[in-house]
Amino acid sequence: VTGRKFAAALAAFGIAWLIPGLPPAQRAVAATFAASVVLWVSEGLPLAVTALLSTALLILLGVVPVEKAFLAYGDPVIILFIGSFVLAKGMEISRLDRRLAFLLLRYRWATRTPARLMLSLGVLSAVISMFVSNTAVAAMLLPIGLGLLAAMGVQVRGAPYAVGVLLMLTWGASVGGVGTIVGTPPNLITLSHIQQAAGRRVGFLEWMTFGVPLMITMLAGCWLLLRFLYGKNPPPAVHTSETAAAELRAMGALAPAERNTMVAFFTTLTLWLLPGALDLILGPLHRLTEFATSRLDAPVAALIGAALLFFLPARGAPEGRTLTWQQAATIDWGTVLLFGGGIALGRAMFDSGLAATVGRAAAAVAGTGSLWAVTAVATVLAIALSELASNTASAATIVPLAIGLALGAGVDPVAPALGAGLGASFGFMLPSARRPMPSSTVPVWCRPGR
Amino acid sequence: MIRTGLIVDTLGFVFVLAWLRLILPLLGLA
Repeated sequence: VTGRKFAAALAAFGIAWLIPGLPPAQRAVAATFAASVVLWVSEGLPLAVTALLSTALLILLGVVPVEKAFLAYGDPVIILFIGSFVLAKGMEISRLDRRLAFLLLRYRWATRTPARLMLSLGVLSAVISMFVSNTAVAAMLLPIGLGLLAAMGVQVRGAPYAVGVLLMLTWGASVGGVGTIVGTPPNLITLSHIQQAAGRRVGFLEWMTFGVPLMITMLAGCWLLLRFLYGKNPPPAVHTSETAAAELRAMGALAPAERNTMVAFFTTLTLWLLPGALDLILGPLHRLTEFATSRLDAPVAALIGAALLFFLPARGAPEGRTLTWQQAATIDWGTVLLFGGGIALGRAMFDSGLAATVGRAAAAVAGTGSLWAVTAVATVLAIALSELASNTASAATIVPLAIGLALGAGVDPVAPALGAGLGASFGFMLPSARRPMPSSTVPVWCRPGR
Repeated sequence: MIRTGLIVDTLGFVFVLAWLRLILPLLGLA
C-alpha cells in the first residue's frame, strides 16, 4: 500500500511539473507541493517526515537556499508551539486537568439532567482545549465520560445517549481549539502566514474576540443538535455529581505540582493577554503598551511560563520538580516539524510567485471574487480537506492557497486565511478525520479529530 | 453518522463566515 501511495505522490509531482507556462522556480514548488499534499492526505509517510522531505526537495530543486529554507523551523510561532505544548504537558502530568473536570462535575446544577450533563462535559472539553491539545483533552475526558455513563447504568455501545455524550466530548475538544491562538496547531499556521504574507499581526486577545464567540455558538449548536438526535429516551437522571465528588475526594488535597502548574499557567495567560489589555486601557501609544507589544511576544510569555514548571519546587514529584525534562521531552515533536515544513513550503509558494499565479488563474476562472466569496471558498476547501487529512496538514495546505486566491482576486488576504485556518478545525464528518485510539470501547465516530 | 457530520460541518462553515464577517471589520482586519 505504501508503494502505491508513493507512486501517487510521484505522479502528482510529475503532473505538476508538466503544467505549461510556469517559470522554473514555480514549477518546482508546484511539484513539491502536489507530492506533499498527496503524502499528507494518504499518510504514505509520517506527516513530519513528509514535511522534512518537502523542505529537502525545495533545496535540492534549487528553489530556496539551504539557510533560508530551514529558517522556517525557527519561526517564532514554533517556539510558541513548544512553550504551550510544555505547559499543556504540565497540566497532563500533574493531572490538574482531571481535577478541574471533577471540580465542575461535582456541582449538582452541572449534572442535574442528562442533557445538562452532556452540555457540562462539552463546555469542560472546550474550555480546557483552548489551552491543551484537542486530542489530549479528549483522551483525558473520555474515560471520565465513560465512568459517568457507567454510574448512570448506560451501555456505551448501542445507547443513543452514550453516543451523544461521547460526541459532545470530542466535538467540544475540536471546537475549543479555535478559541485561542494556542488552542490548536492550525491557528498558529494561519497566524504565521498572515504575518509573513500580509505583514499583519493578530494578537492573543484580538484572536479571542472572534475565536471565543465562534467557539460558544458552535458549542451551543452541537449541543442542540446532539440533544435532538440522541437525547430521546434519556436514562433516568442519577446523581453523577456524587460520583464526581467521590473521585475528587479520592484525589486528595491539591498537590504542589498541581499548584505550580496553576501558577505557571495563569502567569502565561496573564502575559499573553497583557499587550491587548494594555492597548485597550492605556491606548496604543503609551510606553508600557509599546513595550508589551514589541517585547512581550506570545512565544516569550510561553517560555517564561513553561520555565516556571522546572524551577518551582514540588514536593513528592519526581526530582522534586513539577515537570522533569524527560517528561517535557515527550511533547509532540512531529507536529512541531510538520509545522516547520508547512511554513517553509508556504513561504516558497509566495516567494516563487506560485501563490499569486494560482490566485490569478482562479480569479480568471471565477471572475474576480469579492472578499467574502473568496473567504467562503477558502473555508469550504479547508473543511473538505480536513475530512481526509489531519487538521494541521489541511491548514498547511489551504492557508497559503487562500492567501494566493485573495491576492489573485485583489482582496485583503486576512479574512480568507482565517477562514481556511478555522475551517481546518471543523471537519467532523468522516471517520478518516478521526484519530485512531487504543481503546476499543469508544466507537470510531466518537474519537477526537486528528 | 455522515448526515450528522455533514450538519455540523455546515454549521461550522456558517458560523466561521458569520463571525469573521461580523468581527474582522471591527478589528480593522477586513
